[in-house]
Amino acid sequence: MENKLIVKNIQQKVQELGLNQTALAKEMQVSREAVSKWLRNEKFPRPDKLLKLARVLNLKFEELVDKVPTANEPVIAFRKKGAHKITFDYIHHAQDMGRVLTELVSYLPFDELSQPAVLKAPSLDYAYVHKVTKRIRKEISIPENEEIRFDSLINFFNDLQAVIIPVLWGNKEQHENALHIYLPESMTTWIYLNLDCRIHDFKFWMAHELGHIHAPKLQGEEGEDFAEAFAGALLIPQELAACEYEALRKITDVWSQINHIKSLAERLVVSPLTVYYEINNYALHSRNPKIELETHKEIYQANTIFNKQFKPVNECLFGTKYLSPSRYIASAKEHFGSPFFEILKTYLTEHHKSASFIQSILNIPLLDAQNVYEELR
Amino acid sequence: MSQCRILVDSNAYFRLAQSIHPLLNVEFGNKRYCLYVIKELQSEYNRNPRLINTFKWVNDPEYVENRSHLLKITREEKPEIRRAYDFILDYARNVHPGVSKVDVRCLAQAEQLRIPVVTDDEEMRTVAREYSITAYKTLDLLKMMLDCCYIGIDKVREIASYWIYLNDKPKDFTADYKKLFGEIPPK
Repeated sequence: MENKLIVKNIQQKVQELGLNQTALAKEMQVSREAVSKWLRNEKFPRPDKLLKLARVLNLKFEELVDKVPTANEPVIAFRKKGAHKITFDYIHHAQDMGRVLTELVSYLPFDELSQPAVLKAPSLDYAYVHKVTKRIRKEISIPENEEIRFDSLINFFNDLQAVIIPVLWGNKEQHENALHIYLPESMTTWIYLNLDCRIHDFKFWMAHELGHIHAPKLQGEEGEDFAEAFAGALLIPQELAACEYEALRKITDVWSQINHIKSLAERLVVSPLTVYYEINNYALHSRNPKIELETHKEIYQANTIFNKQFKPVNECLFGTKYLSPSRYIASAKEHFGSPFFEILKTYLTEHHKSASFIQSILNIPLLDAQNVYEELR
Repeated sequence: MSQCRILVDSNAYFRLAQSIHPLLNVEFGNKRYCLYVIKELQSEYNRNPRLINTFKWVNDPEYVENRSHLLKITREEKPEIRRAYDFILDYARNVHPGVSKVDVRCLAQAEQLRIPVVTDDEEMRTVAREYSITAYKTLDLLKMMLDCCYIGIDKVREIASYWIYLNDKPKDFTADYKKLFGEIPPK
């Protein structure tokens, strides 16, 4: 955002108060020329003068300053979940994080001359999405009925020059388990992944973020819907969904169907709900009747109980709830191949930033930021 | 002579309040210095499990009571603090995104009331400078207390040792300590 003075409001107030440019300049303790430049929007007042101007003219911030969006505003994407509302505060905060990330761009070890390929015309069509994910599976030599392992997904992020930022944001039930920030000017992608989320959700979050990277032009709802479809298709390919659909049709009892889904979910390390939705997406696409496990919310209950059996990602990775800053920082490279903390360290050293910079960039409490800061110093 | 009010930011409070108790609402020195915190310190503390875990004493009754004495803000000052908050927040978001909303609230009060703040946060100090707010470091505050004979050098050394033990030294601690107290910091 670029700040511009709302000259019309200033002139109106100056008139109301019976002032002129000279009197205003005197009141503001600046030269008449300075005021003149402000009113021509050639110069923007320094922070203290801007506040003084607001006080002299009795204007609120939004009456005095226009926030003009620039072409290079950070683009934010996060997975929506149910009817949960995403607040403007959350979006603004994420954009602020994007602006802070801009400072690190020049330290990235990526090729400056080329850009990874993205999809030409991404669409939500079932056949199209599965065609895309089938090709991806082929590229990494993973058959249709096999699990996509975490390390394969991580390699993909790195091949696509997306920077993974592992974070410990606590157990979030809504959309805060992953955040995707695209910086248009540098064409760089930054992905925050919450290691405190459940292991069987984590793979879906990762696959979802991969969907965003493949279709950076799709934004807002459209982008979210595509990323959602992409993740489902990548983790549960059409052939597998078809085969499991047939198997489920042969089972008559609802709880036996759920157990079948659960065992597949466990094998693929995804949630039972992901399996259920994908099988029914296949049913819809092939014009077959849906597998009905929602009459008494059975699949949702089963999903909740299933997830509780497993530990969150950080405990699976480190074997403890209490992670030291050094292990946390090392894990970015070790488990996610991410250069994030290396470049952050270089940046901190060169720019003499304080722990509050870490607090902003990782969106963590100051005390945690101080621990990370001490480790990186 | 009226009281010389000083606003202490959350981190400075956590660094000092257990070692110098009561830290707030007590006048010291000829200039009648008196320290305060903003009320948002409590909500910041409450929503941060790590802070609660590290500074368990913060909610002990004697500290809660001591923090209950807040700066008196008049009806006329309230909207001006709100205005200052909006402007400082926008500036901080654009130029110093490391400065949190609670920090901005602290700066807005200090700006309107024309009182100094105590903070070791470098970015917060830079923002303070832009708005002509005097910003002291915690070590500056200890030096003021020492000069007023409110505390002795042994207390300064004890606090410094505790920060070293906690690995919670403010930025430029060693250089500042030497400059202010004319000795090398304790081990």
